[in-house]
Amino acid sequence: MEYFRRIRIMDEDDGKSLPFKDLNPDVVQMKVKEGSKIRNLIGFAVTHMASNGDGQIVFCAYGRAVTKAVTCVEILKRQVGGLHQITKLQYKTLQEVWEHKGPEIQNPVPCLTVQYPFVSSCPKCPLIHVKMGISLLNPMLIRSHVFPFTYFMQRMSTGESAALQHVHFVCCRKEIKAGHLGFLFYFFPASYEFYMLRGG
Amino acid sequence: MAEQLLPPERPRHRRRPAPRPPRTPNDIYVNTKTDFQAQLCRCRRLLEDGNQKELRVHGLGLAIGRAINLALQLQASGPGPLLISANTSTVELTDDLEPEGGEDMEPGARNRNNSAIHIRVYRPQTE
Repeated sequence: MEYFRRIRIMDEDDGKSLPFKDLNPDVVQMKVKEGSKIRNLIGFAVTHMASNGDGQIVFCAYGRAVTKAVTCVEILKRQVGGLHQITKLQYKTLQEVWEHKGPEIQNPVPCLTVQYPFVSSCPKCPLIHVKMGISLLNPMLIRSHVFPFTYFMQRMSTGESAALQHVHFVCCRKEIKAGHLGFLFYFFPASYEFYMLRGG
Repeated sequence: MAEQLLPPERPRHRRRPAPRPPRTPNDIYVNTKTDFQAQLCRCRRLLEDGNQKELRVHGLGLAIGRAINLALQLQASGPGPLLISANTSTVELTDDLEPEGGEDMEPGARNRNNSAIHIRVYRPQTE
């Protein structure tokens, strides 16, 4: 893991239409981030809702910014009366690009592209398959004492080549119980979008 | 040399537990301490074995993200198709302030707001 550094995060859902019907195409979209200041967001949103615009505003957030987005919406509802709210929840796909750094190794991997798609899990099934868009020779059996992503990065840093299209993380219930997949769960940021319009 | 002004000390306070009005088997209050898999299994069991038609997942403050993740995981891997309907609210919490000046001082209380989410996970009605 220490031989790699993350250089870019790409938002795969960027440019996609919002999951709301009858939405004005030029609607104001507030993208709430972890470092956004609530005061700045609310200041803009209140001014916009008070002006003679379309009376609609969308708050979008994912990951740890979700709580902040909820707080913004709640403050806005208190400050501007007569608002309707529609809430949609969905997963978001992010693509991370990791670059190799550190000592010279044989057959280095030029660049890693890690995709965090959706995880499917079934409690009755003894195995969980997590498909990731990374290349590796063989499926990896994750032991209960190994943190999956670290283990993967260690194997990649040893110069194991990247020839296939996908890697399969295979683990049994013991590993799931040990919470090793929790890491993956927390890397799937839940996206949270609000749609507000002024009541007539 | 100018005296350095120290910020005034905030009074010590004790947080009262959050109010939990409805407590039916359908209501799931998500926290950040319980194991996520355990919470997920509990919800699945209610939907599968308990024959519940809908669950209401509540998350307060930091647990909002967890509640959303739980609902989305249920929808994606739950028994049969499930729909999600979310709403947000504000919950008023109370802190008890502990007096600094001995036992003569009267204890105070302070109210503050926190955000909450309420997600309804239900089966679509078959016609």
